[in-house]
Order: sequence, then C-alpha cells, then structure tokens
Amino acid sequence: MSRCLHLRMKATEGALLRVIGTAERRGFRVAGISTSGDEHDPVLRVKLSLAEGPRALELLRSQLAKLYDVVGFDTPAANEPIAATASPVLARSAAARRGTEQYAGASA
Amino acid sequence: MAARTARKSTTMPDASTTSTAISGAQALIQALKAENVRHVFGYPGGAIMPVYDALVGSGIEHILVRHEQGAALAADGYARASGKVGVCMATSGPGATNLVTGIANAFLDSVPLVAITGQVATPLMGTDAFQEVDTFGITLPIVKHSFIVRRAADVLATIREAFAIAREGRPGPVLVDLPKDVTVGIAEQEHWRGRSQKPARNDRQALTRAQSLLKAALKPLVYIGGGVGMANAEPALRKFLAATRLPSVATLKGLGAATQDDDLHLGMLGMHGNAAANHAVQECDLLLAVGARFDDRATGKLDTFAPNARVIHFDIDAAEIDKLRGADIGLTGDLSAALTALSQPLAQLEDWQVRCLELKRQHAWRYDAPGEHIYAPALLAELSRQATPETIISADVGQHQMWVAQHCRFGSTRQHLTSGGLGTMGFGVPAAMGAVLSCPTQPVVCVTGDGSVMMNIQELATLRRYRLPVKIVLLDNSSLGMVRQWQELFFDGRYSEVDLSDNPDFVEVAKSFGIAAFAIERRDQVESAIARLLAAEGPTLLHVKIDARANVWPLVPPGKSNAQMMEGAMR
Repeated sequence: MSRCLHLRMKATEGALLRVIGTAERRGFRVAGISTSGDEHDPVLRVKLSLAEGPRALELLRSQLAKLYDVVGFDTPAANEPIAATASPVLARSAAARRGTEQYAGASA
Repeated sequence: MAARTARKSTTMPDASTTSTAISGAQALIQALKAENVRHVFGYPGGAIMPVYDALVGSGIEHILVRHEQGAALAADGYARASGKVGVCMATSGPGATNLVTGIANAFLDSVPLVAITGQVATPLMGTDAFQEVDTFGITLPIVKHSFIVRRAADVLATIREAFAIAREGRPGPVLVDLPKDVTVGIAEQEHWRGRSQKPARNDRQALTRAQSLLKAALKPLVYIGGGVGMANAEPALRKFLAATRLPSVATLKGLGAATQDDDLHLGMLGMHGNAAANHAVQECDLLLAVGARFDDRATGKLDTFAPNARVIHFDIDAAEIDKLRGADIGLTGDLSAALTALSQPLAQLEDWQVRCLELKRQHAWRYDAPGEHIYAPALLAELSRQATPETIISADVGQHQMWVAQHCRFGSTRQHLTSGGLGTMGFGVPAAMGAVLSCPTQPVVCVTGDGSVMMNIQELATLRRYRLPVKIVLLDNSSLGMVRQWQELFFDGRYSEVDLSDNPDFVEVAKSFGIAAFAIERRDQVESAIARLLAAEGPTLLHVKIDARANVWPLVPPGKSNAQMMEGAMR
C-alpha cells in the first residue's frame, strides 16, 4: 500500500523537481505524483504517492517542509489510505516511544 | 518572489536614461551593496561579462581567483570566519560546474553563501548553446534554495531573497542563475526595504521538562556541534557550562565553542576523537546535543552511541530532531535563550565530574613519540602555543585535518575552518584566503598536506596578487596519508595509488608563485621555524617533512562503536 503526502506549493521554477528529488535522495520511492492548478494559479496542489519502505513518512515531511516552495500540507481525504507508522531510520525512536516535543519556531 | 514591473527589454540602457532605469547587472551590484557585500570571489567569462562590466568602479572588491572552485571555497572560508554571507561568481557552463564542489561544501556544513552564475540568454536556454549547462538542475541537491532570474526587473528582489535565505535559520548556499539577456535588460531602481527575520521562540514547557531531566541525571554530558557558533550562542553556552559545571565534548565543527580553560571539556568525540570524550559519551545517562546532528563520523555505529542516555536535542533545523537519534525533548527555538534559561547549578554531579577528569587525565595527548622524524601532532601543538589567541586556522583535508582538530586550540568555532561534511581536499588555501579578507585583523594559518595543497595550488597566485598574509604549514608525508592509513589497517596493507613520492619541490613551487618559503625536516627546527613563519610579513609557506608511516590515533573503525577505538603506536 502506498503512502501519500498532500502538499501546497508555490508554483515556482523547479518546485516539483525539488519535491521529487528530496523524496528520492532521502530514500523514498515515488510511486506517483499528481498536481492540480494552472498557469495562473500561484499555488500548486500536489499529491505525492510513495511506495512502502522502511523510513517513516515524518522524516520526509520534515525535509519537505524546509523547501521554500512548500507552503504547507493538507490532510488526506477520508477515503484515502493513511500511512502506517513505519520503522524510522533512527537508531532508537524515542519519539515513537515517548513522544517528542517539537514546536513552532523552526527555520523551516 | 515579487515582480516589480512587467517592462522587459534586451537592450543595455544608455547613459542618458533616468536614474530609475538601470541594467540587470547594475541592479545586481546595487543589491550586493545593499547587502553590505565588500568582497566577491570569482572568475569572468562570456555569459557573465555584463556583470563584470558593472563591477568596474562599483566599490565592491572582486578577488580574481585562478579556478572557480577556489572562488567558492574562498567565499565559504570568508563566511565561516566572519559569519557574513560569502559571495562567489562564475560564468555559465564550466565556470558554473567548477563552483559545484564549493557549493556542496557549503551545503554540507551549513555555510551562508550566495553563488551567482552567468547563463546563456533565455532564448538560447535549452538549445545546447555554447557553454550552456543546466546549472539550476545540477545544483538542486546541494543548495538551500536556487533561482533562475527570468526578468531584469526581478534581479533586486531575487538577490535580496537569496541573501535572506542563505543566512536565516540553518544557513546554507543559495544559487542565482542570471541569463545574459537579463543582466543587460532594464531593471528598476528601488528603495531598499530590509527583511526582518522572525525570532525563534522557545517552548517553555519543553524547557521545564529539559530542566527536570537535567536535575534528575547523574551523568549528563553536553555534545557541542557547529550550530552553536552559527547561532552566535557561544557566550550563552560558556555561561551555561560555567553555571552547571557540566562536562562536554565537541564535534569537529563544535571545537572552540567551549572555553579553553574549561577543565571539564573533554575535546572532540568520534572517529578520531579523544578517547576520554568517547568514553564519556558511552557512559553518560543524559546527552544534551547542542547544534549537533549525530553525524556518522561523530557517532560511530549509531545504535551503540550513548547507549544509556536520554537525549535533549537543540537544533534550529526541526528536520534534524529525530532524524537519526530519537530525542526525549526536541528544542528548535532560540538557542542562547534556551541555554540561559537552563543555566542553573546542578547538584549530584561530583562523582561524574571526578570520573570525567580522570578520563581526561588518563587519555591526555602525548607528544613523546620515538624516532627522528618531526612528529606532526607535536608541531601543531607548538603552532597553537605560539599563535596569538585570535589566530584563525584553516585545515585542509586528510590526516593533518584530524591532527589540527586534536592538537590545536581555538578561541571560538569561527577560528577553526574545516571541511567537515564534504571533506573537500583543496579547501585549506582558498578558505584561508577568504578568512584573511573577512577578518583582516586576525592572523590566518593554513595547515595543509601534500595531497590537498595540489588540489588548489593555483591559488598561491591569488595570495601573491593580493598580498594576503596567509601562513601555510605544509605537512608532507609523500602520500595520501589517510587513504594509506586505511589501506594499512583495513585492506591488509595493499597500498593502491597513494604514493606521492614524486611530489614537486614545494619550496620552489611556492617561490615560483612569488611566495616566500622554507623547509624543515628535524625536530630541533620546529620551534624556531614556527616562530619565523608567524613573524613573516606576507604569505609564507613552511614545508615540513614528516614520517610517511605516521597514523592518526585513536581511530574508530568504520561500522564499529566508538567504544571500539583502536590505539596505535606513535611515530
């Protein structure tokens, strides 16, 4: 079962390349990508489908969130499969065991 | 990116145009001046010629390097030493591709850099035109962000944005690709509006929990990374360490953040770290990672790193929290404020402090190596002893880089320039060039090796041209020492392509570039040679012959735990 991220992006030069490149470089296989928007729309909506893999989706989400073209993430529609919690790349995921206290104010 | 006007042109404005009409190239210069750029490192060529034309009489000093890689690495060194954004520039095609290693170097070490590249005119883009490569595409994985400017009217806003992105949050390189028709097209002069950066705020509840963890810990340890210096948080860190009396270790890029007289600072951890630092990490029960990213060279086998520790992780980049090691508490706010809030005396640490001091005593560096050859660690300790406290040391990459990290002392992280993430041989000389320009009141020493120095030897000409007083210590073991060491230890002594015994006479090479140079090969010459080098007026090279068999110790073998350090014989 594939996993999905729904992104809202600025429709700028190279924006899609950055998203796909970030996913693949971080060890995720892009199973599909669909976009909505037109040349007059400053915001592009992107559905990124990713093959199942050993790395947690949150790892990719946090890297994508740093891209200047990424405005935000949408919640998947109710009828779409939600990504299962995968094993992270972490040596030990204290976040998974105890909950990590992250908060706004980062540079992303 | 804000577009200011829809007006487009491919003609150069003449001298009679109104003061509000300027070319894209002139707009670039105006934008650079508005960012207080004083130096640009670069090399001209066809597509970027309008920019070089606009540079004439601009007041910005252009440093003409002899290879574009030197420009990018010099801009990197300029930024590391000063905290300012470094700027490099090259033409399209090979000029741009020659920048790539330097851009990647800045990316891996989070250095604020703006790289400006010429590009063929927009009608020619995508036609395989002369000197056309997809610079934007080539550099996508190694930049924090990048732009192709399609209209002259967008130049000012783009450059402003590029500088803001390069320096804010976790710094990094930004590429701006400028097609030739854009640089000759008409832009608009505009009043400068500064961009304010939102201050990062700390989560009080998380800080309170961090305080609780600290109070409960019996063996807490601070793991200092390069992010401390980049956040200008060294003063806060030092106050925090003094108030809490916490033992600490540092990554390669974190060296210099703690004060040199902090007796509980155990030095560098990791692959070539001090044994005391690695043992302390393995024993601690709470690790405060401060601006550090759990890099594999620091952690060794990740799942054996600090096996008994809970983790409080401070990082401006939220994506670093939980990336490799799970954090009990992740803090991505203002680092200085967070450290200040946690700066309170801690009880129950006496046994742990005594243990760390004992580890430090047991594993103190020794300089009594047997034999006749000059012992590089002893020479570097002597260099550090004689150098003034403000001295900046730029290290190249290889064995000497690790010896610098182990045996030199630094007044701050900005005084230790080293290619940590990418490990770029050839970094040392151009980085020192940049540092001497951004910090002209500070002495700058470059420690290099016979392999590394040849990677950017042409920049000796740049040192000579601008009379940049970089002092170069060239440690020559006539081999690619680090590779040779690994072949000795992990490939059963099968040496493959590491012999450099046919090196040129480096003293003569330096002299041919117009650089003063002299050589030593005996231990009794070290002290006076260092004194002579540091007292020299202009750029000077000291060639030091060392034992080709010397290895860097300790060493954590690849894939092993930091607890499995190898210790070898001194040579």
